[in-house]
Amino acid sequence: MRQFAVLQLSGCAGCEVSLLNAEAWVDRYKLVYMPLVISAYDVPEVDVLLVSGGVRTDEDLYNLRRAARRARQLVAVGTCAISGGVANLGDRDEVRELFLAEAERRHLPRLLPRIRPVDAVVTVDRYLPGCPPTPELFMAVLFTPTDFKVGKTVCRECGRKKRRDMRPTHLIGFEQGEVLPDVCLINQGYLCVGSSTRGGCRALCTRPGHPCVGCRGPSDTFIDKLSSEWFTSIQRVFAAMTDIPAEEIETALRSPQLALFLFQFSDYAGTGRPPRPKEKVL
Amino acid sequence: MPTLIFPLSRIEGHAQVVIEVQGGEVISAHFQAIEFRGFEYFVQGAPAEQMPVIVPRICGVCSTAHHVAAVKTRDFCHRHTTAPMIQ
Repeated sequence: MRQFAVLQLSGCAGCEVSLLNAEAWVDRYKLVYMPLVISAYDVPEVDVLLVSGGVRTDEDLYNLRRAARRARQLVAVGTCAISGGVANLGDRDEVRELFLAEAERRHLPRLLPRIRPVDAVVTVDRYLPGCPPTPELFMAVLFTPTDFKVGKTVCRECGRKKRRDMRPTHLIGFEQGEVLPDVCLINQGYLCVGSSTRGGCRALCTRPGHPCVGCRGPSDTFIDKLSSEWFTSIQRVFAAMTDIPAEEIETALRSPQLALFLFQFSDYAGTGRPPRPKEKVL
Repeated sequence: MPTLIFPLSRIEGHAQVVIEVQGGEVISAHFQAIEFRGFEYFVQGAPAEQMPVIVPRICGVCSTAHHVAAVKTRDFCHRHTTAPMIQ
């Protein structure tokens, strides 16, 4: 039986919970290491190593380097492992200052100068973005089934109807307090970025009525381009479907909530590394 | 002076118990939480509307509790009654 392990770096264990919700691997894979549910102290030799969480402390760095040597295939799982995720907010200058002041006073673990994605430290064979990736996506990455088909973007999987007669003039979505069923969230004045976000989640958030925050990262069209292109594309969608001023969209897109996820592949392009190849991203 | 370190499992996050032993006697025992992301600091100044998306990532196991707490707090601040969709 093939063996796999899950290495948890600085993250929230949401990816692990999602993995546990996908139970069909139980008969075909043996889970040998995952601190959340198994009392094992070290990562043994494994066929597949899933790494979740970002590299935040020097201990993360040490654990990751050591575990990567024992794995035949390494998969970066979740937004944190791919771009730092929510902990990335801690890299804003003003927050960093607060951090450092507190770190000295309270003997916090040693933080790295900034949070780093897993592939800045070790070679990654596949990427599984999502916050967290759905159980279905975990199954797809473990078994690579040939019949696994996903929509190119969240929009394609969503199924809400776009309407020409509804053109909001401001982002009024959350003020309405309710969501019309079956009507596109953009037509209702929500800031939804599903039009350029990678599909595969089966539009888990938008179908019940929460706008897409882009946790799966850019779709294949934008993955190897600069983040500004992704940005421009969202602007174009809003210009075509609404009468909301471009500046309002721009401000909203740069808010911390969306900054969590937007640019999660391309922001890393500035470090001089080549963009992540789309064949490796599920 | 030997120091024994036991990493803890079956919890969300990273923690360990450090026990210092000298001549067969335990000198000290400490529980250390060794993961730090700093939610307390980086949520300061972020708009309240965005908390329901940010705070569930504190813990993936009990994310619902964090999410509901954020929604209720925001409703309380704005003196809204919670929308039917959220209830």
